[in-house]
Amino acid sequence: MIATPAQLEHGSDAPASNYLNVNKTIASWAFTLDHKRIGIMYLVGIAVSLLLGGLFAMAVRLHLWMPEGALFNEDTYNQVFTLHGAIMVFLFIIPSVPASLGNFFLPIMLGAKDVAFPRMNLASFYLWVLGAIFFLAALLMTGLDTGWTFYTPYSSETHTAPVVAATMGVFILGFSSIFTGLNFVVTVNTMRPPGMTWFKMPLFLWSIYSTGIIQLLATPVLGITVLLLAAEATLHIGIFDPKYGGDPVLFQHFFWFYSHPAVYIMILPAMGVISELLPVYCRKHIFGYKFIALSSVAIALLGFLVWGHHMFVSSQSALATVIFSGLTFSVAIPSGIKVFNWLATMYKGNIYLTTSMCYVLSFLFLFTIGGLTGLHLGSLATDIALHDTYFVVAHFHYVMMGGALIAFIAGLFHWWPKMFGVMYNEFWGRISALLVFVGFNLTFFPQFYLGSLGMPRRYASYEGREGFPVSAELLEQFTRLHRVSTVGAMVLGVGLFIAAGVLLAALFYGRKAPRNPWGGATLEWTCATPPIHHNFDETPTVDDPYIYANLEWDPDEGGFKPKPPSTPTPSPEHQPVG
Amino acid sequence: MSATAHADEHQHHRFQAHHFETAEQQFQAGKLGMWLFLATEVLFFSGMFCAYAVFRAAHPEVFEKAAEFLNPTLGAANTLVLLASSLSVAWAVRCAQLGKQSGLLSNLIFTMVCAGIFMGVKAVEYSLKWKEGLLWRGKFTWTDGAHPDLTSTHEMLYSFGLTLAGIGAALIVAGLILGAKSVGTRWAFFALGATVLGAAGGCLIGNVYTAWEQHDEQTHGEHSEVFEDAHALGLEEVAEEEVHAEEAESEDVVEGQTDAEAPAATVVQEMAAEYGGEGPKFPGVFFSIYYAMTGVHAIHILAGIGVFVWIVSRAARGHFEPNYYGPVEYTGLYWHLVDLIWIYLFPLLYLIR
Amino acid sequence: MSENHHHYVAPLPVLFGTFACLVGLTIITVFQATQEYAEFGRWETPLTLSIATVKAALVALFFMQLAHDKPMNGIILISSLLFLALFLTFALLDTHQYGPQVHDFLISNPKAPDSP
Repeated sequence: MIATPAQLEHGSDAPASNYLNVNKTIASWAFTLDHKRIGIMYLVGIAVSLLLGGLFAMAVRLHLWMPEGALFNEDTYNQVFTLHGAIMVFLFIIPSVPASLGNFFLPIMLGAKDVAFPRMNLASFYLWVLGAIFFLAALLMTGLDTGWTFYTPYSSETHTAPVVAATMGVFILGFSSIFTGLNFVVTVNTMRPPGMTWFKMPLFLWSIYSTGIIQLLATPVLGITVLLLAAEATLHIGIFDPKYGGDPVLFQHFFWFYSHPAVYIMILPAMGVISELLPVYCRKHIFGYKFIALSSVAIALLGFLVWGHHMFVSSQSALATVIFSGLTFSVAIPSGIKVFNWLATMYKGNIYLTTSMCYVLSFLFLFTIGGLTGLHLGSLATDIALHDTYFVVAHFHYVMMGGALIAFIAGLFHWWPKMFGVMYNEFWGRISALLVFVGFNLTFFPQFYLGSLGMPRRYASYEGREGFPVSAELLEQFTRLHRVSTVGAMVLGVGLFIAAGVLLAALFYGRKAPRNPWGGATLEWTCATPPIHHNFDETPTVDDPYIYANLEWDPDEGGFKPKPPSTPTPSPEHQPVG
Repeated sequence: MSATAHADEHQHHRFQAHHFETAEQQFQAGKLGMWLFLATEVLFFSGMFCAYAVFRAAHPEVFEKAAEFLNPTLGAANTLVLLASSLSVAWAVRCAQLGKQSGLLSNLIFTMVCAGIFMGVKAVEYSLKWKEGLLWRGKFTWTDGAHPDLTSTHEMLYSFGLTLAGIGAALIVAGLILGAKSVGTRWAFFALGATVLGAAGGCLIGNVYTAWEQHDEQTHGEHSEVFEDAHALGLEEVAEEEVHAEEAESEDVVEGQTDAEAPAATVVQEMAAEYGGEGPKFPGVFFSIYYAMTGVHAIHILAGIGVFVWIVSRAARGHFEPNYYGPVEYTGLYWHLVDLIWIYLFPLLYLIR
Repeated sequence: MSENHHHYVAPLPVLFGTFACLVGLTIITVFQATQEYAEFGRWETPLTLSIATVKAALVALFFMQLAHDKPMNGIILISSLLFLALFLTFALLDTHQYGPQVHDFLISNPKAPDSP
């Protein structure tokens, strides 16, 4: 970690030394305090989790090909969907954008050398690894079959060992998440460069900052919840388990006080990525900067007021139900503000359909559907019918996967050249975007229909049984829709594999990336590609991050470069501000 | 890390990390980070406060009844001990700010002794409750009117306290030997030894006090004590407790006493009727919450002791000075928060009626 | 680099004064809770909690030096308390509302004593 002389005396456009090759030993990676390397390590871990969770998802879809269930018995099916959910939520989506892209680019966008607490950053990564190991332990034991929500009394009565292992895993992952959030909040608060006022920050930082606030305020409650749950399962403390005089609805309050805001931990960074990418590929200043920035904070705060909408049919009292239902609609306001501002940014923009932009466009479409179907679920009357059906499954996959995952991929394609210094194949990238978009809709749109027909979620079969009668006509519809969904999942899987293949192939065969291939105006495009160990030799000067008129295409390099100083710099007022 | 790379550029303090522009920026960043961490701690405890509020609101009589088993004197003593430790931490920060090395060290060590006393008193409370069967819901074995003989527990605590004193003294000697060359190691051992001695003191004093109080109660006797008379019911309880008991008792003479004049209809039995047979074990929910809250709080005390060992060791090496005292202040903030939480736990658990 | 000039150093009388107040309040609250004639009935709990809150405020203002610190740190503490209040309010509101139903259910479905 000692800076080498080579690193200090670079200066050329292509420095010989960058953060990747400054020191190649394994120990230099394992004990690195460099936020970029920690971000890369997170990225690897997250990708493995995504693969694992995705394989479980494929297994679930294949199982549901047959009405009676094709692959597993009921118990195994419970474990498979639980692990799909738990891995995707705790190991993949929550850390996805903040811990990988955020870790890598937050200090660079601030023109800083590192995050405020580099050692805590590394600790956060290792806590993530430890938490993942606990999850694997739960997987290798008799298996976790509670669903990712761990509802009592089932979770306190089923096999104790995997529940304890998984809850400890969640506890540790929670700390990992808190450390990341704390680091980012402090870094943004105290390490902004001179001239970067709050309203000159890139919007990605605003969203990461809001995410940090949620991580700090909500995650500790999850920590104590799973701790008490583990105590309930092993010692029977009688707080959540009705058999011992406890209150299972109280568990749901505890759980959703974290887990509803956690939904915004997942989607807010994704929204930040979109706000960052859209103006670059539209070559136009972001529309309504302040509204997008403040709506992130508003979402973070309003997200704390609505957790009861997960409990409409869980014996929550009528009064609380009505209050939570009303409050739920308030979240639609800042979300709507964002979507309209993005659309207004695109209006009359000079849109470049790069791979990233294709993913951004899918995000806009899918997130809007996800958000609008949320209104059905927030309204009490419709939710009573739709609760715990495939409608809910489709809704949150449109938001979580169509929102968070797609934005994560868009961000990866956008920043891949900066992270690794290589360009990927645009053609195959766009093919992957198309396949993902088509496959996604094919998978999840039928599930809205399935849910409205009354197909409950988490069922291992739909051939009909006591308590769940299925008429012959309904069975035919269920079967058809489930099969469409399964085919769609396969297409989606192929699309994601192609995307991964395009990015990985670029590492080996990609041509060298220029400093600024897309013409972004945020600070990361002014540092070397890939960045040098300490990011910048001198603290860069800061301007409005969404003005593109100062950049021009440089055909020699294949990227953008600042216009020569002779050109008078247009002041921000003369820019089209939407 | 790359302090060397910048050493010639600026005149940085030796503990200033390379990615901060100034020492002041580093100080404020650390302080903000600690405050944010304290906010997460508040919310971490909020879950237990929530459980407390919900169950107390639903069953106030259970809490009133169950809280009678807690000893307000021990709780108040621990409150005062923690307040004193808060004072000394604040004073330690002041000493660090003014560069008073000896004042810093003595205040830090006084704080750790207080932490030790707190844990010693807690050990007395937990051990007695364990013996009486006043445990969390799933293990709640106390029956109304029973007066288990606590003599063996008092004896165990007595020897435990003496053992702790021995360990504390051994740690100080170890500090003299192992830390002969390194002032940091030496003082780390001293601080740890002082903490353990504090725990020994807390344990012994708490033990003597509770034994005296129990004796006092017996001599002023509302209850006629018949030690030889182990009833069949009592023996049953012995058997059950033996199965569960995990701590090594020096003596295995456990005699459950059933009071001959025990009132037939107690609060608990009334509750048994009201809550469909939930009765005798129901106060266990109070103790579940009691153990969860005080247990998690005690873990925070232990973590604080661990951090203070590191701080003392650094202080002894002269790392802290008026220009650089951040770690002392951050640890102090953490310690004050632990105190702050206890300020609420004490009346909520011990002073209900 | 003596950037420490503007850091507030708490004078000893302030520290000891705070400590004395804290000890005094502890004695008052214990006395109030243990003496028979100082009985306040339903105001008992609010009273003890108010005393605790005064003590907590003293610790936060003078020991943790919020009285002389950047406002941001105080805002953080207060907002964490606000979210705690939010959590407790909704949870209590809901459990209070459905509590009678649980009560009725338990009365009409008596379990065997100590079933677990």
